[in-house]
Amino acid sequence: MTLRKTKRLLGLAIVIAWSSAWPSAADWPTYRHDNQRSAITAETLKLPLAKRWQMIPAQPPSPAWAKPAKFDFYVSPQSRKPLVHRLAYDHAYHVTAVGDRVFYGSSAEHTVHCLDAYSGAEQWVFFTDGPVRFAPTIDNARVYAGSDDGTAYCLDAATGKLIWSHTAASEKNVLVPNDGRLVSPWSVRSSVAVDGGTAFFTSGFFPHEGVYMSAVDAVTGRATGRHHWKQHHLNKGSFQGYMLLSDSRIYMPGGRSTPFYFDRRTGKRLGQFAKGNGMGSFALLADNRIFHGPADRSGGVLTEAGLTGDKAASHTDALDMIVDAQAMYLLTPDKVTAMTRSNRRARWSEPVEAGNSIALAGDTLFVGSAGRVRAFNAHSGRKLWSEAVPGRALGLAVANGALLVSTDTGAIISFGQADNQPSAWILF
Amino acid sequence: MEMNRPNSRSVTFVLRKSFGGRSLFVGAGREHRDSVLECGSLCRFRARSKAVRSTALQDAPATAPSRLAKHCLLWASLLFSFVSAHAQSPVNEWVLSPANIDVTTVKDLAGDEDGLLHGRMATIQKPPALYFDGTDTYIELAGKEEPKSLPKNKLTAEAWVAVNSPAEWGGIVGCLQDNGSFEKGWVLGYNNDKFNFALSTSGDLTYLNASVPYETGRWYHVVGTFDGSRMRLYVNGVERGSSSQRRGTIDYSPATFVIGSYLDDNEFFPLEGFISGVRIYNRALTGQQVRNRYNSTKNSHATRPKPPTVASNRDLSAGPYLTFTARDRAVVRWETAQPMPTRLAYGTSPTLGNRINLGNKTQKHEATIDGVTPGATYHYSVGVEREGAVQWLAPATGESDFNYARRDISTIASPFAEDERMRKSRAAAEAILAATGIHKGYAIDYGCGEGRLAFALAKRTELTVIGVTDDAGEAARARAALRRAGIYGTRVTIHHRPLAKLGHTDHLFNLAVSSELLHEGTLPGDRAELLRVLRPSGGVLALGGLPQGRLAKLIAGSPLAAATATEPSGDLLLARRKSLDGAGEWTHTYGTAAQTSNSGDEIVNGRRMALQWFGKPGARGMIDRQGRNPPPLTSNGFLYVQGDNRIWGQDAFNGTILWNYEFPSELRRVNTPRDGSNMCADDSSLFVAMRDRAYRFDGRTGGLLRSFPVIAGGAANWGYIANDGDLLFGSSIKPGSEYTKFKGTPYWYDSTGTQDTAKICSDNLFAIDKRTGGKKWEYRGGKIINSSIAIGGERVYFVESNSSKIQNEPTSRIASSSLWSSLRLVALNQKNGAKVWSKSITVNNSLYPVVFFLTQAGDRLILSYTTTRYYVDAYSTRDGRKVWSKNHSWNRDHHGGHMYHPLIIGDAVLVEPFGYRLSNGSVVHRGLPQRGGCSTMSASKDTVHYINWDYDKGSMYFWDVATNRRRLMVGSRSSCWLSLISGNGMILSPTASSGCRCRYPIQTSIGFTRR
Repeated sequence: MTLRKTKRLLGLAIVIAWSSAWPSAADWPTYRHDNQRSAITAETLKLPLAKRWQMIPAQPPSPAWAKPAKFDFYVSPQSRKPLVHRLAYDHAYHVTAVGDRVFYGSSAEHTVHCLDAYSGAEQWVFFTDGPVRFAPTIDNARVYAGSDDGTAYCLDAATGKLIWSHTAASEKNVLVPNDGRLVSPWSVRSSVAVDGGTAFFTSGFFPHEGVYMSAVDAVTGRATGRHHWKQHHLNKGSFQGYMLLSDSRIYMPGGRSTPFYFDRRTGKRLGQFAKGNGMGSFALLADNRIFHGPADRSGGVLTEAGLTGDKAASHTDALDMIVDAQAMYLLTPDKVTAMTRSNRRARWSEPVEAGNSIALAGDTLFVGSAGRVRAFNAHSGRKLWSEAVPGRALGLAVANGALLVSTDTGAIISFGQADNQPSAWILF
Repeated sequence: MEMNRPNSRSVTFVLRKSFGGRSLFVGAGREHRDSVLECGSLCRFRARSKAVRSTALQDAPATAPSRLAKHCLLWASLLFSFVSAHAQSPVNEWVLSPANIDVTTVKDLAGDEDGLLHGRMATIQKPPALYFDGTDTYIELAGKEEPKSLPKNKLTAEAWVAVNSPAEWGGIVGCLQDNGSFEKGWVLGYNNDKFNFALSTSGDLTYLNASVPYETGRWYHVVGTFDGSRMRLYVNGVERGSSSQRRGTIDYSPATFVIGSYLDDNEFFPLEGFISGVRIYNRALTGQQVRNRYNSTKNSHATRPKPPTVASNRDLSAGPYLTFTARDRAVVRWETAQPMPTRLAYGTSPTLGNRINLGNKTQKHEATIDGVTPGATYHYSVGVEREGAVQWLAPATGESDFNYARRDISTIASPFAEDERMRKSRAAAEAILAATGIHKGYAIDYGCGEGRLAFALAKRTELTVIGVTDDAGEAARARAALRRAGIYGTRVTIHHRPLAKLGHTDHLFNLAVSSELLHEGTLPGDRAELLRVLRPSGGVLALGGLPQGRLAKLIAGSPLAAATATEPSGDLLLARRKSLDGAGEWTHTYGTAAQTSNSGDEIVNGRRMALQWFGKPGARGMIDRQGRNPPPLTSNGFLYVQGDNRIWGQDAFNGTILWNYEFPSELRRVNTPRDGSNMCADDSSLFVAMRDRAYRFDGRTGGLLRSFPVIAGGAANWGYIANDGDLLFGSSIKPGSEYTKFKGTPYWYDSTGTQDTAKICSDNLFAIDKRTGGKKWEYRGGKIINSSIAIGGERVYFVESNSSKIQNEPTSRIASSSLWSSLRLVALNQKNGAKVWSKSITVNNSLYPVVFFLTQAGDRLILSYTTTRYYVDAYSTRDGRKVWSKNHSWNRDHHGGHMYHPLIIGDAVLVEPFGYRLSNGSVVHRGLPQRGGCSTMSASKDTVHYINWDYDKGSMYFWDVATNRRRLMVGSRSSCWLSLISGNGMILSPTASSGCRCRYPIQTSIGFTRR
């Protein structure tokens, strides 16, 4: 047996041992884990966690939209309940992670980045001509990202090389000034959702300029297949927010408005969710429900509705939610609450000051808040772990043995298991 | 004898006693509380002493009580006094004297509800009292969501008040919600000429009115009590009302606890009058106790109070106003007529905890606030010395959300080697910036090489620099270097693309340079493409790197030659782009001083308009959408937008915020249709009327060029404002006449009642030389209706009322129907103010007109007004002769259907839904597209732009009049009057839907260009 073979076998043995010691190793290939934006992963992390690395970018996020008006003085002249920001989808560099790579897009540098998952070292960077506001999607070793330059990009995950690009409004695309940067009126502000070999994305958010929704071959970027299409919507809606996919439909947040839904095979618009309820760029799918918001005419709220638009409930002041088969986890500005899904009865509730984001990994519920990330037992609410982070923790991802936290400062922090750091990559 | 319980603010007692017929004094509290509690405690003590003498001490010699008995009596008395006084102590007490108000903090002398004074501190003496101005003065004791210690079972609310202006809903002190069927809390107040006391116990309020009226301007002692089963109202110690409708505990909901206003979630009716003190008890005083309270304090409230004459911002000759000069720095500027030391109080809360003393005697004052925190509101007040004491002027605010200063990158390290190319790039950048003075906006480096010149420009300015190269290697190296410097994407961006096809929108760049020309001696790409993206009206192409003669040849014969004006500057050749042929401007409320609602822009084409820019200012700084706010203005490539006591100066072509100021609340004006804007513009500057003067700000830098005091006989505010040529026109109105309220549903000024429709009328009209500030002329006649002033054809036209009944009105907001009698249409010579002609006119005055406008177009004056119909009367500009007259029904009497500013397009005047030929009144348009919502229409030469209100989608229409084709623009909405303007070849729509929780998708400022 050669030394090389010996090393390989040793490495294989360690990998097997590492795999069994590691509760489960799963990717987080798109924003909030999947195309339903569940923020639920089977990955489990053994607590406590320790900081592996921290990436502080040269420039913080450059959000697309300024703060909303403070109050509705006209209707509620003495109200102290501020209006909710409905378009806060890009206030942190949200990450995705597959294998030993972590990916994010930069709204400041107009770039897509790949980091080494274990060291945080930058592997490659790809430049677009506009801010990249949404987390890339990873599928089959390809990275999909949309840019405010009006183009959806497909990159090689290992090298960052361009595989294809698709500009839906290619014949008329133009860059216009917007608060000190140039962007396209047909910016891609849906993320790129990939499923079944098709990449879905929208281009544009000004109804009067027309907006596109495209379904293209995920390998070639061309709309050549039977279920590939490009639909143009003039004066009929605005698309901003992470796109959601079910087996038959596309659910697309309507920016400041309510979500729209489309036939996934044809792109035909089927409808828009009810007026006045759950306006904003947040949405998630859970079985036969869509949860969308975070605002209605009375203030902050996430609306729970059936998939044909019938409103089922309002979750007042909710900023974020996770919904699985048995439970719902509700984050409001001052607490996190677990409820039985069937009857919405509270199981437990724990105070969390200035909470921002949640993610469920196995039996552990992670909560991001101002300057801190916490872990709770999802069943009992027992506090398990807590650690400081720089800024407001707006994004959480759990993948391959790590908790990845994105904050409004632009920082990305990786926490790994404190006592059992995997080391297979070091041997290879 | 003194007893003290220092741990409790409310039960600190000072007792002094003596017997044998000498004085007995029992008092409580700090400072003046001794005297305030004196009567009630003393009377109760004396009554009890008699009883004690008649029973327990009856066997003892009356003249010589034993030592033990004396001690017993003494201690019993003291104990009783203590208990009694404690029971009668108010839980809150606010004495509104200067000693108890620290700029904005009103001390609670008995409890913990220190109040926040909104508006300004204007106090009087004898008795000490606070003047409430009826506009924005009130004391917030606790916010709606803040915890409060309000009595729950029993209550006494006591106040000394003088009401100057009766109102249907008046509040002296209270904490209530009265919103439809939702009725909670209580209020001691007034209903027209009766004091009242309202209280809720189980779901609704009982309003108990006094049985006798009060006189305005006189002091009254007003007390409301509730003992758990009966409400009582006392006026000057006499019970004037009683009700047993309310029983049980007082029913509260979250509400603001307030003095000096009737205030709940959707109502704000501030008191105009005086309050000297307010007390709250958690028990019901008896009738006798109330009488005692009245008797003990009435002597000090015997004379009628007069509004105080105090230092005000009128003592300043300019300002104050706040601006941000760096990411962490704000500057407040003001000027005084005489050199004097001044000071500034400021803080991030209204308590103004910080002070800056400016000890030098000077007229121009500037205080710098360092360490500005993002997202914070800075409150400030200027202090001036008067008669040896500091008087603080009306507090104002500035919000750092509106600090647009970019990160200072002047000290960042260069990512490039310090070689000859870098040295040359740096020198060129310095020369270009010195020659052009362009430090904000967008710059293009056309043929940018590896980004050295782009870096050098960005480092020295707040510019966004776009470097363009068609060389992939150069682009990669430039991007890598600029990323290392930490400025890529936000300050410098490199685009790799063909230079002849930039893919950037037209008219974008304020500055264009070329590294390739600088270093290689060749100007790459395509001259026409370079011209296409250069901003008109002053965008500069700065060429360098060759001798002047060769630089000139680069332009000669190209499209650049005709469209730019060139001038050498050192080693550079500057080609400054001219204005676009056919570009219009919107310099006055309704486009022009003639009030045509038409910019005259010949480039705008409704069918071909496309997005040119979008972004700030967003909704945050604006007045809510319903207030019918002053329209934005645009001229010579500048866009001026007025928000809530703030103004932004922007680049109209790319939206860059060039400057912005935060002003005191004196800037605000709403209900434009019944008054007019407080802004107008010319080619290079913005004029702003605020308080008693007008300011001229440089359009590009925002620098204050000059201020002009209003010309008036006495105290006055600057009313109407317009300009033409060298002249600035103004008028004087009585202070406080302007409409300024916008919070609450009463303030969208859509009703047909005179609370919304009363017209602002000026006492005079004058012209000032813009350059010197010298008065050119002044006209005085009748009451000049501001919305009827139209300037055109070298003349000033207006309608005035000479009715004797309104000449002595105390306000310039004239609601009297007499305004519409003795009307005259007047024409003045614009240059010297001489009267050219004056004609008596009549209007249908069966009802007070909802709106009343005059427009000048050619040889016609169009008078348009509404009562229950639209009336359109045309007069000759030559002699004021009525030429034709029309009227037609209005669409509706709400949502703006009864308000429409006439619009001149071609040879017609449009008054929804008709267009009448100017010459003879024949109908040339019928069934004008119906606008939605509450806005009026505006126009460019051939296109009418207006809102088609859709609550959910938000939408606008661009209507090409010649073809009668309309283009729908879904996404956003304009304001409730006029926020969609045209000029510079563009349609501009600054954010105007602030506060709306509707689901339309776009809420941002937008510029549309022809593409």
